Amino acid sequence: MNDKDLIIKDLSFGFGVSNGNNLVIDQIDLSFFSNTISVIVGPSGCGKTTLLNLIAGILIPNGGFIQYSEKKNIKKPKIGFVFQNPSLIPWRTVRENVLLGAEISKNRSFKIEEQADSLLHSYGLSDFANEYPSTLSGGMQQRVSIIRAVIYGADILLLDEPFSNTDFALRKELQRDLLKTVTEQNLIAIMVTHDLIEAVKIADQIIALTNRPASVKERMVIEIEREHRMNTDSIVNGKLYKYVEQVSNVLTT
Amino acid sequence: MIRLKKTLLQLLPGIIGLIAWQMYITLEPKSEFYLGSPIGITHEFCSLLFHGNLLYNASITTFEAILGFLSGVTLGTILGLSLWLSKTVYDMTKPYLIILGALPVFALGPILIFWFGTGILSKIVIGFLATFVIALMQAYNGASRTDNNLLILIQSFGGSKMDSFKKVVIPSSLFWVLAGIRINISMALLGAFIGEFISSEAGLGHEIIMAEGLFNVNQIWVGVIGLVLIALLFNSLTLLIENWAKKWNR
Repeated sequence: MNDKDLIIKDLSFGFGVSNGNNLVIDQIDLSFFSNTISVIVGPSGCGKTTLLNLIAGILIPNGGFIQYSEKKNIKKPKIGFVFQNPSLIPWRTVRENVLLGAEISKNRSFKIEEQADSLLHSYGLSDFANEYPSTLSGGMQQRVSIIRAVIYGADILLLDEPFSNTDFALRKELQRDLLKTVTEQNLIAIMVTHDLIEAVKIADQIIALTNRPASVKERMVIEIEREHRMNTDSIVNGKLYKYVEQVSNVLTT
Repeated sequence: MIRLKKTLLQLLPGIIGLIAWQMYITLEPKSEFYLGSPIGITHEFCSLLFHGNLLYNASITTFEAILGFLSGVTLGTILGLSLWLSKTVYDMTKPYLIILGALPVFALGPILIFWFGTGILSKIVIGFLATFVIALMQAYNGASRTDNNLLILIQSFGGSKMDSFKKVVIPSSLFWVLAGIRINISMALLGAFIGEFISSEAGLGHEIIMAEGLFNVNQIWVGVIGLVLIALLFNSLTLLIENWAKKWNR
């Protein structure tokens, strides 16, 4: 199923003049695959969000390149952004929010609307489809913003600390939702988080960045089956804990 | 029942004040010349309403205020929102906007009357100038405070700057624009009124100036009451718009 991939080669970026002083990203090489969740960890302000914005094409790199290909064909990927705060449009109903991406890319059709309704249904949001976002809890809003990215037809899901404002139980549910969505939609998911437990639970690969200017400090592959990660099984937990320790060592040294 | 009680409680100080005022006038009839009296004002109000020009004057002032308000708010809001589209144009015009904002527009009243005559046009222009800058700054401030994530989102969906402008920037400035409208309603009324004060042929300001010439304090009060009534009417209209907009406010 790994038919989509995103390759980052020698990526450099600096704000303002490219004199090296304001360098944020320093020669990063990375690859990402579909049906894979990659988690980026690193010190605050090291340039994680900048990296996401570069991948999204909102910032233009000063050096290197980012290349997305689907079944070996190079093309422009569709980006689905999920922010720390759900960033729903308050004057649109939940359903209209979900359809926003399709509307802007002029893809809105009866079929898309049907897909939106069925996704809202499978996430238990049918009853809220015609409500305004302010009537939803924070967790539900975040769910809507993930559905919005899927309905847009995103190839790459960029998540910037998406669950950091939610409580423990809800966070677990949202993590489950994310795993399910990435599997079902065959997405490349790239997520930034500060929560190392969340990182090892959700990630297929963890990428640790250095201080600013960010470069790759270490890349780790998590070798626990996706289905088992959300379990509270003690053996799995032991394995997860070892990974957490490992990541935390990388970050503190 | 509770609401009725509250209304009665709210009316109480006003009624006591009016009774005290009237009692003082009854004890000291000479001071009515300076103070006027509630009964005298009521009398004057009825006679101006039924036999005089009160309605005509009030409608002239209202008309001037509405036209000044509509032209200033419409143009100011459109330009203020559009400034979001070009940072360069904004930087270029900013110093002039600051000067215009700092300028007490009413000080221009005499010149404007000199240019546009003593009729209603000069009052509309004063109202326009008084409301334009506020509307423009409010609209621009609202637009520039648009949630950056929403802008990134539209961009990530492949939307153009115009898409962001229409789908996000304009609607999210609505609260700022509405706040500006609230201020501008009194500004337009003040503009019309001050214009009439300086020189005019009709309107409540004209009525007040005339009454002052005749040393008729009660008639001055009637003019003031007329202005208050117009302002209250305008205010309730904005409340109506704000309630409509509150539907999706967090």
